[in-house]
Amino acid sequence: MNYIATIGLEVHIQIKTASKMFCSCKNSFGEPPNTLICPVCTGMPGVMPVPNKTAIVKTIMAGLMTGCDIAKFSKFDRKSYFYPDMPKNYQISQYDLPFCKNGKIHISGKAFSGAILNEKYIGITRIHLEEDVGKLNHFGRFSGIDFNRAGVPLMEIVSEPDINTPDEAYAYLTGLKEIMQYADISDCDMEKGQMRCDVNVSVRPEVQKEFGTKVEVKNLNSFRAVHRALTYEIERQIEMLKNGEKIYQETRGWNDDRGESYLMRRKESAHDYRYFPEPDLSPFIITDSEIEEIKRLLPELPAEKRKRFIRDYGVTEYDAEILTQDKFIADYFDSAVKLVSSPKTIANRIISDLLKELNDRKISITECKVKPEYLAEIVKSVSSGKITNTAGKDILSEVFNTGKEPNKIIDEKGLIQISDESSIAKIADEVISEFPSQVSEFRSGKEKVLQFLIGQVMKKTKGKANPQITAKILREKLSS
Amino acid sequence: MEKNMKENKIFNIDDIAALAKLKIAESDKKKLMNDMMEIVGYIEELSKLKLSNIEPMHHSSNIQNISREDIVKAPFPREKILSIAPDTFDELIKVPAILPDEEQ
Amino acid sequence: MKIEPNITIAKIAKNLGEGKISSVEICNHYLENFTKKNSVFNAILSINKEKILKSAEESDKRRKEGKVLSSYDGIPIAIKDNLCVEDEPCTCASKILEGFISPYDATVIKKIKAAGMIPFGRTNMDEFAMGSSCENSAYVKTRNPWDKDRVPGGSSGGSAASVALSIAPAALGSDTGGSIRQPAAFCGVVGLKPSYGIVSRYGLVAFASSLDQIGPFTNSVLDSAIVLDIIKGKDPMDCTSIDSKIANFAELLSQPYSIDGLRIGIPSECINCEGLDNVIKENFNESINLLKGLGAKIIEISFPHWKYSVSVYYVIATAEASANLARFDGIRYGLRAKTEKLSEIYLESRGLGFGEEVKRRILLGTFVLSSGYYDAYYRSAQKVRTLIRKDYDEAFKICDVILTPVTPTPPFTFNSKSTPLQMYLSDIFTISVNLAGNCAISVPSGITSDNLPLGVQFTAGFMREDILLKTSHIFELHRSIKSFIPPEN
Repeated sequence: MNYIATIGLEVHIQIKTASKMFCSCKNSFGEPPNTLICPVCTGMPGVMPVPNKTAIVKTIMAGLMTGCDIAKFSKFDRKSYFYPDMPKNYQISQYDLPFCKNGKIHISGKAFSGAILNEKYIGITRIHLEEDVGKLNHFGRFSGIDFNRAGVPLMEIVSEPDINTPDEAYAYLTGLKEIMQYADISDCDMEKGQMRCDVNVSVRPEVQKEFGTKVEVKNLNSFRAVHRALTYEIERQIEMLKNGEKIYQETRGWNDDRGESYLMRRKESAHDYRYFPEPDLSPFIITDSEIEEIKRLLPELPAEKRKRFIRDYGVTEYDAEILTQDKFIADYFDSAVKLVSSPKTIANRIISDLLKELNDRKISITECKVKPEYLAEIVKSVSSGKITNTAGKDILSEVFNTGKEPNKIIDEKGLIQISDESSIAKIADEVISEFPSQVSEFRSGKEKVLQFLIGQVMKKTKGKANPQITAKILREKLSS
Repeated sequence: MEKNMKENKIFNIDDIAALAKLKIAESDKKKLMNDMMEIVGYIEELSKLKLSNIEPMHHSSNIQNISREDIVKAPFPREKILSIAPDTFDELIKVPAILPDEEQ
Repeated sequence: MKIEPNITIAKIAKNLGEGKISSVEICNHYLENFTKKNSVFNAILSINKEKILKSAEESDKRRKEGKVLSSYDGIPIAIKDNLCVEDEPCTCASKILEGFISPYDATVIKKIKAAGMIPFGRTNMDEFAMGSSCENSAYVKTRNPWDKDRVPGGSSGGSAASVALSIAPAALGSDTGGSIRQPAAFCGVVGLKPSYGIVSRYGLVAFASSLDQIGPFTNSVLDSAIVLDIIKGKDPMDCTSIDSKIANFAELLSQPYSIDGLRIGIPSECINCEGLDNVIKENFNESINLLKGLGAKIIEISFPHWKYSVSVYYVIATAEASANLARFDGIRYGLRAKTEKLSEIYLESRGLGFGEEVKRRILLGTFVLSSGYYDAYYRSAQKVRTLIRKDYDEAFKICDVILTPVTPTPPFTFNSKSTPLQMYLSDIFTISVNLAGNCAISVPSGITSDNLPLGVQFTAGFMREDILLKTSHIFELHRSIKSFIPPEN
């Protein structure tokens, strides 16, 4: 018997704004507790909310980028429940008239597990805007509440139950993250709580039409955890069904260390949130011309960018994928490529050298000292033969360390390649006389030995001899 | 008698008090229930009206699209808020530990 | 200079300006009246004498240096205990906020301070503004200045009584269903409820967000215009606030005008209202005749949906209140019950901290919003609200102001309402104005044979404070009883 899993994802994304959603406190992570608070975001008596325009615009942008219908009439509602991280014991959210509805995300290509994804669209039911809650810190017998996060603008994105595998879920999350980063809506750093994901998963025998009982899984701290949890949960539920056990609607937590889910609470009845329209806020009427204005703020989407790179710069599809995986890398390439005559050389230098350095040093491209102009300089110097390829790599490392201009480093370290034929010829003569056995091996047909001889010239010139010219000169001398 | 029983079905004081996190003393429940029954009986007239073509009124004026620019203002002095908290610990507001069945 | 009882702030300002009196003298005068009368009448819950006198000294200094903030610089004004004043208590007459010190100023307080006026004491009220008699205060019972055995009205009973007793020349209150107008009538002072949005609600502890408005208690209609001018204005901290069309209402009243030809609407449902006391009926008819005599045209209008006002009000107000009062949980401020379990903190703090009426309203509000009942009650109420507003809009097509009694009875005695519902029904004349968002004013109109004050209510269209104030001003000028001074004074 085959089983089908049905997965729905509920993703919360903190919006990148300067101030909070309903007050002018700073929106920032990692600051000392309760330093970014005011009477409004701590729910003092008598306070009132005032919505952040940028948060609304960015929510609409997210909707446009996922092909959603943007509401012509939208409003906020109060969602009531009591919890210590809730300053007002109601959250200002959206109930029946969210800003965005009926969108979709396209997934394709290589999946997290390595398999190839079935190309498909995952529907987005809705995107709405709300305020984040405070943070609870647990100390055993008591807890401490930090309200720095309370009131941060939060987008809630609910997917249709169109996802059928953990790989698809992972791809969906990656797709969302890519869009949010690209449009500067959010940095989606899960470690900073900027993106959070809860999953709903049910299984059913293939022959059964109705969906199975869905189980909610929370406390997933990375895309990988989502993948692992879904894999585990699907297997667990299938086992239960095979054993004739009943699956109850419940909320489970995920323990990533042990790789298992655990029961948090049964859902006897749904929460009664007693939604009603927020009387302290005006409704929002969004006109077509306003939507057009917001469309102009949208960045070029990753897929379009890849097409453009292939078309205008002649990079391969594979290279385009790598260059657009991250908006900042793509922007870097866009800047650097304008400074050189051959886009392919810059693409290669980025892909083979720059990204490796970034990875090894565990920094992002926005933090690295190698400005696009510097990389272009290195590439040009190698292309023109001014320095060797190896020197180019060394200089790159040096710029990473010091931030110095490549030309300065070339001068300081005397890395200018020796391309002058007569100088090389002199050294070649020296090498030929010092290694007579290798010379005769080459003359008798062993091509590989040439590398050894070139290497010796390099040694004598401290790596500065132009390898191609050295090879040419050696061949000339040895063939005569 | 029948009417009261019907009204008791609608208004379950224990459920509603739990939703509202209100502790009602047993000794107060009966009177409170009577008061509530009288009031609910009175407002019941609304549920019987035919109102299908009427828009609900949420605001007195035609305000719309009221929002503010995304600007950070000078920080509010946190001592003013922390100093009135019933209990604090290291600049956090202190509460008893949250038990598993209380978790959201 | 001797300060007469129930002197107007217009007159005080004139004397201040002419150097006949100082702010310190004025504040000392009112502090003396406070000392003499407050222990009997309990109008004021708390007061900071040193702070008041310090502010008075600063005002006098400014006046000496020719740097007054306004003509009203140095005049005290009592503040209802649900309006936040920085570093002062704000209990809303509830135990759950016992000891709470507000960390900020309400916008209206910022404005009165900017005019140099001095917040004078925290006045008693029904707990969280829920009540019509001040009997729901968790602290003390305020007594009616005209008869100690009667209520001053509510919920702003303390503010009304303060002005009537000359403990302050003016006071701020809040009105959600009549909480300014009814106590004004019961205490023989002027009480104004501005149109919804004209006065910022930022810093008013919310009861029903779509109905609440802050307004003044004063000894004259002109005084209410003066205070309105100071506290009104669109506020970036309150999304529901709007600018009035007129910049200066006090100036409007200084211009000559007559009400000849003014169309005054009398709702037939009012005149035929069940439970309308004869004394009220009589006085109401007298008021009508007075206006007729001044040239006004009396027009009978109809409010077909008026009879649903109480139901609609109690559904909407309690629904909003149930959410607004959720924040009082003992976690971040206010009363926290001593218990080891977190869930108990909510239950115990709210159980101990809230009074009976507040609990009733929270329960009702929670119920009408709960799953399964939202459409039947809350949504229906919001729809009937539209109909009530339409009734007013239709009426104002054929009349300029509406005249009604303020209450069905004169001030009643303590404990005279046997059930909560009975108390709710006494709000019948005032409630619908809040539902529509219109402006209304209660002006003293007569004194009964038992020496109790009576008032009439003028209502005008949304944002029509101009016609409201002009009409009530003329009425006040021409009514038979010139001044309303309780025997106490």
